[in-house]
Amino acid sequence: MTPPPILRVRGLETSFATSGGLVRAVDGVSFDVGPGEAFGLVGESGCGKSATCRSIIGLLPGHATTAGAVEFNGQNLLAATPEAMRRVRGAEIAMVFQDPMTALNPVARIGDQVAEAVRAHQRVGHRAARARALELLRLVGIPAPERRLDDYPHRFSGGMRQRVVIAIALAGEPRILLADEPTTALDVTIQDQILTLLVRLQAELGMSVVLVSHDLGVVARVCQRVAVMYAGQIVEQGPVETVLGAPRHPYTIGLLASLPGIAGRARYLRPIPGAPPSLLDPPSGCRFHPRCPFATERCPTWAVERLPVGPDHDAACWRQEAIAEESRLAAVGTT
Amino acid sequence: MGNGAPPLVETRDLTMHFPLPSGLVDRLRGRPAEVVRAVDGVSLAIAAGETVGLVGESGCGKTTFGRCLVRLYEPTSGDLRFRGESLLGHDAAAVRRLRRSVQMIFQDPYSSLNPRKTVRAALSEVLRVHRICPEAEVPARVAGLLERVGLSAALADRYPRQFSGGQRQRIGIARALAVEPAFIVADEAVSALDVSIQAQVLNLLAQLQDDLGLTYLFIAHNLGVVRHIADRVAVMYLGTIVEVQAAATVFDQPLHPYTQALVRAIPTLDRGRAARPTTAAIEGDPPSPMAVPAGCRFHPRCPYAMPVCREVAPVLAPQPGGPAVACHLYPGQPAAAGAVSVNIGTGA
Repeated sequence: MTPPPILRVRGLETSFATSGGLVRAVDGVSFDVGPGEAFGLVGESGCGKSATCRSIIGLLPGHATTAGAVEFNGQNLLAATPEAMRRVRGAEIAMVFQDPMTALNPVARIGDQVAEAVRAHQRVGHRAARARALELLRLVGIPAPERRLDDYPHRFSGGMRQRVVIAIALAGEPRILLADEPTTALDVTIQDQILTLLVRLQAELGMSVVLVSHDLGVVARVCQRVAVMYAGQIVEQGPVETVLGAPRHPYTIGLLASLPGIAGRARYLRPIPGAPPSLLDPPSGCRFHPRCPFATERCPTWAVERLPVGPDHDAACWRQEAIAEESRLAAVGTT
Repeated sequence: MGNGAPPLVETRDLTMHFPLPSGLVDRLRGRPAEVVRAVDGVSLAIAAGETVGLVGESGCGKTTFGRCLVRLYEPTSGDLRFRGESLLGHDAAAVRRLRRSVQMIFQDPYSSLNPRKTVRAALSEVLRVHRICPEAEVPARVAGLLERVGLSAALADRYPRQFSGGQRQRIGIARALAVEPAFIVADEAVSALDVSIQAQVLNLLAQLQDDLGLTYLFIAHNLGVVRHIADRVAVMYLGTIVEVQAAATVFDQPLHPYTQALVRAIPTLDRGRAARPTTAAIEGDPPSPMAVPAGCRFHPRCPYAMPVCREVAPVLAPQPGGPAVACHLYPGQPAAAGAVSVNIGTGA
């Protein structure tokens, strides 16, 4: 028996009014996140993964509109009052952003910034908040944190700043941590340290994590389940091993084939032809059909739905059985 | 490598130091100005037709090294040779001749193209400045260059903003190709691109190399990209090269402890092996190039550091089978006793 999900996103639609028209950044996205589970949202620039993440916690700019439901704790967060959202943000669902350089106040001491976050969520005195800040900085692996409390952010490296940002996010003891490209600005060895920290915190605190990334490897490193997004929609969803090991949607298959350094050292990669569509005027039917090597005349009119593949694995492609068969035959042919 | 002909490009003990502006108080006290040792004695030979991948983390000096090779910077010391001929200390005319043979592709194709010039104007200018062809042939050349990089010649009269990121990078490549170079420094040329577009541009670079016999120095922080495109990989740490090895083997048998950490830190799709490890590949941050540790620069973070590592700077020493590594764990290193005088001649 799997426990009931802690977060249920249903038919989420997020649009931005722009001078060029309405951009449907997220168009009918549904997924569940289990308690203590790490869930990955992966896709290329503009696929709607960040907009999905920000819609959950209500951090969208003024020209955005949302529809659908984000169910958490028996309430629909999309319909919650600003007052109710303030109680959820930080205390129940916290968020870590990509750039640790801009997420911290450059003219406030690190200890004060973490303590401020503690006091925003708990009625504790100054001294207790500072003690808790020290604990949090130790939890996220700041070496000798008692000596760093009075330092300003510029004295911290990028990786250490991201640890501080995570400490601030943990101050309200959230049940869900949203992490939007938390390591994209960091070097590979520092990224490895931060991902290791996320895995450890998730296990130690029993927290759920929603990780947004363009990097399939990063998602595989941290997450148990993953949703692949394309042009505002989820095209495939399932356990990480299954989706990355036996992908069913042609976009996921193409994305994996585009990755350099994975499939041996073939001189030429097999990239997906063309470029992602404009969300002002997305293609009809399956949005991937103009770039899809498996497309037929039915794809431009197909009413997109996610079809079950296996246990907790679905893909939004009506030809997935035939494609899996073709791929199998092709694989046999090359060996 | 090693078949008699001189390497196409070679550096010997190349050094690029940037002095920092010093404060008045420091100057009155007679303190020497602080120096950023961005590139600190790099000897590297690149054979014609070869792709060398240069990897390392932010601030390791890989971009500075690339810029020295195309003479965007005047190196502080050392030698830079092209087809066996030294290029340093030459006049502007010689540098301009070099520019015809050595070109650079930048990371951000948007900021490296003039937004107010059409693609035709940008490419024509290059052809005229370097007198590549008679004026009458310029339009045909521009069309040929665009087709060469997979763009329709009909797009020549558009401005950079009218292209996608991948197309802009193709324009940047066309501009580099305009002067018919032999050697191209590609500095994070695909880093800003999405995976599906990145693969298209990597294929274009491979195609151009196959067709035109180009030589590349491919600078990247993404080891997957380097593994794919490079013949050999040079790993930089704090201004020095710590390992050079064939791309086919370096990811499976990295020798230097820093290379080992880099390879282990790559997030892999192979869940069987990666399976959410709970320890990081390496702890700590790289030190500042303003305060380079004595001895081996990596010793403060190295899990295998020995007493000798704190005192003696290792040299890049050839190993059986072809790789070279600068580490006291491997043969060919100076002994601790001679600590004072052995730290020279890495380019021998």
